Amino acid sequence: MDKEKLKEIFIEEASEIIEKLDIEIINLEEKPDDKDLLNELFRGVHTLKGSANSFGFKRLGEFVHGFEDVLDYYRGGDDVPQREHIDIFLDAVDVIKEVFEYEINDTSGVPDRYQDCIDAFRNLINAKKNSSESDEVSATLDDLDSKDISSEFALDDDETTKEQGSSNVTSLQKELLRSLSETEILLKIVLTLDDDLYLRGQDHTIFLRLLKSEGVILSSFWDLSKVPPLNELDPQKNYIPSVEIYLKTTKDIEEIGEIFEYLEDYEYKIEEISINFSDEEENKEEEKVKEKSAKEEVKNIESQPQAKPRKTQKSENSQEIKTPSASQQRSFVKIDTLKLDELFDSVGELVIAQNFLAENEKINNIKDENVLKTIETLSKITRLIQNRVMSLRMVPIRDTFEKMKRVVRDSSRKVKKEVKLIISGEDTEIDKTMVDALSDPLIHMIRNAIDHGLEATPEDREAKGKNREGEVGLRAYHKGGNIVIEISDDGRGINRDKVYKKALERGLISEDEELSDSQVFGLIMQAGFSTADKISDISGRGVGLDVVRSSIEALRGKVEIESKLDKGSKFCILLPLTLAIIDGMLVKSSGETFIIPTLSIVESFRPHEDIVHTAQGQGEFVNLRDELLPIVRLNRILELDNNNPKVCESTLVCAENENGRFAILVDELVGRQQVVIKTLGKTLSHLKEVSGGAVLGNGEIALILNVEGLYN
Amino acid sequence: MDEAKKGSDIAEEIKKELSSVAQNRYLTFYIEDEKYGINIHNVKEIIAYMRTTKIPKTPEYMKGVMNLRGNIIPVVDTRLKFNLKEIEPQMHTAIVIIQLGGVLVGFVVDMVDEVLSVKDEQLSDTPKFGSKIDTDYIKNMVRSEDEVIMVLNLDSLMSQQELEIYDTISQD
Repeated sequence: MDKEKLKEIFIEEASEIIEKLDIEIINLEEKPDDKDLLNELFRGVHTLKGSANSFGFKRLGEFVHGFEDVLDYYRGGDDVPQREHIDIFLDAVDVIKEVFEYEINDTSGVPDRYQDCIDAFRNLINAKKNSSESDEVSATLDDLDSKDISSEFALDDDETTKEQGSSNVTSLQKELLRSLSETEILLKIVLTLDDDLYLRGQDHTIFLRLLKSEGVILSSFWDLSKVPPLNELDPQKNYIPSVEIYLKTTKDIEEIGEIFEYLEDYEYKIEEISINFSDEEENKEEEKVKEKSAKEEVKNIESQPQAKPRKTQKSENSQEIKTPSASQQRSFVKIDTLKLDELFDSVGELVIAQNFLAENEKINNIKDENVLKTIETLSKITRLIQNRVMSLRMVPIRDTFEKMKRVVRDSSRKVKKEVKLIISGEDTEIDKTMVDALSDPLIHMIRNAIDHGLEATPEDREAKGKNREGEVGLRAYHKGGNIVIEISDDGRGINRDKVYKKALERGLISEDEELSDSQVFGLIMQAGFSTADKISDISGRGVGLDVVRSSIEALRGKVEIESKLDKGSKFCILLPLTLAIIDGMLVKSSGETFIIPTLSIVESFRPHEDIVHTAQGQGEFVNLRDELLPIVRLNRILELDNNNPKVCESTLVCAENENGRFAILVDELVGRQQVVIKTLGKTLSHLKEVSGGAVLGNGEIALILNVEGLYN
Repeated sequence: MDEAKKGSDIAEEIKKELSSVAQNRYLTFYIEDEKYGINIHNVKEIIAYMRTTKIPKTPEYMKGVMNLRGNIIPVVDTRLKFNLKEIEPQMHTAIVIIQLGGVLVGFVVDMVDEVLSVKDEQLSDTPKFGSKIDTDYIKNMVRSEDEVIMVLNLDSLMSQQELEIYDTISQD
């Protein structure tokens, strides 16, 4: 594994961690006394520090180290972070993001707030230490068993000695390693000793004796930091929380592990010390962290599998950088989406082959129950596989939603409004590629809701009889074959007349146009439209919402707006479940089959002769409930042939695109179907009328029409 | 990791070896009684003729697109490309899938014949006349026993220019 590759892995994992920091800090603000959350946060920061240092990213390493100290303080004590501390944390994450960029791009110097933040860490720790030193000391002695040794250790002593301590150990390990012959390995065994050890009739010297029979004990370290003065010593209590033993042996790690078989999992830990020293140090620290979490949740069965494998795990080189941020209950495999696509293709073929079998007349004529049954089973399994493969691409929208908490926090402060974010349906699953692309539009819409949606001041809200605190809702759910994401607020609502007037001014509409409410609201998503009286830092430049609309449309979705004056507004983003599959209407024109995406179809109908009009030189129109729709003949626009079927004998599909509604004339409707979208490749990508192809059940290809390109 | 690397190294070597062999081997096929050859290095696979879906607004010789195990690839009617008359697919009609600059393209041919090893001395330059098709499409000729095989110039067959034109249009 070369260095570049390692660096890539580091960057990927670090970005993941940094991404999560924001979310965790915001969650911590909601539940400041949640130690699990704090631990999770600490673990992330800790891993980040470790890997940053091992890559020589000193600036990042140093900064994160400072941050870690602060978190460690809260982790060890009963003190909970206040709002101003959370501010510091969040600032720190911002700086981490910047420093990270600096490091990756090899830019010299540090970000502006780098030093400020480090100072803030130091001040915070100093202030806290001074104020609470006395209680801390007594607390550590009183509830020794409930607290973690390593964190205690860090609290009592200065952080630097701890660092030095561990580097001494590594040089010691180095030395010990040199004394090994080729067949021998060096094992590090850490025993965690409970304080009621003697009362339970245990004797840790037994283990030492047993170990001696298996190999040579090179060195052992006894943590004596907790031993009280003689006059306070309780002879029935054990004051040595841990013993660290270095064993030279020719046996393997599993055999040695058997000695400790009847101990609890948390009470002992064995690992092999190998050549890679710098990482060893990291792993060791890592383990302290892990150990702590394992201890705390020792009754929590779900955390056990994570603690167990670590004991026998050989410490390999640094490709082993852990991601403790990953969920504790489940394990995950990262797969290139490209591979998923390939799998998906193959499954698509499987479905086609299965359809072929199921529809084959000869097979259907076989009057053998077993054959028919097998075919039936095959089709069931195929469908099952197809669904499972589909679901591989799906991830819950939770992470994206969680990210919005920070957005709400930041922007509500900026405009000095009190805002509560209500999230629901965060378990709704959505295509991974879509999740990534959704983030920016969502951020924008949330900001928009806070800045424009809500009343200007909390006082304004009170005057209207509402809570001071504005509510912004973020909700996801399934509807039909779509996913809907709702961004709602209980603010002012959209002023229809104001929007209408503005649109007239800007020349976006003409005076004689009759527009429905939703059409008027839709205008605010047009380019060059902004109704905010004042341009603020957050939004209001009028370039935002149209960008939102185009990025949603790029995902083949659309935005619908509902609003009631003084009650609030609701923006609904309708998205297909996945980018790989489209819900389409199969139509026929000149003998060829085409697919029109259902999302852009308004309705379809067979027109009566009376409502079809021909305007000289302007083409044909159909009058649908007093709305004149231009007719687009599919066979003509695609240049399939020159036939001119009578409009009243054909079917019209009313579709909607950027330029408005129009009617597509086709020979007949075949039916509605979910199809897998395939690109036509770059040789055919110039066709604006066609956006792709789909393989139908019979193995043939039907072209998917691009509604945007059919009429303008 | 190391093993995987070794594996890919070996695969690379085999590929190289194969390609050096393939340099001189040609897949031969018939179009309207004339025998043509394509360097086998470029041939991905040969499949029996299957129905294609016509793509609107493309040149006549673009037969359409077909479904190759889930991938959609364009198919060229070689007869039309050579300005010969179109015929209904026969029993031996086949589609030769060829890799052209990273893109797979299918070519409809009347009948696939064999894979022929050719020595350098069998190759000769293209005469400027005599064939029913545009000589631009012919790279050189192979004399094999009593026959003359025309080796197709793939670059001009579905020219880079054509591919690029499509590319620039799609960027607009």
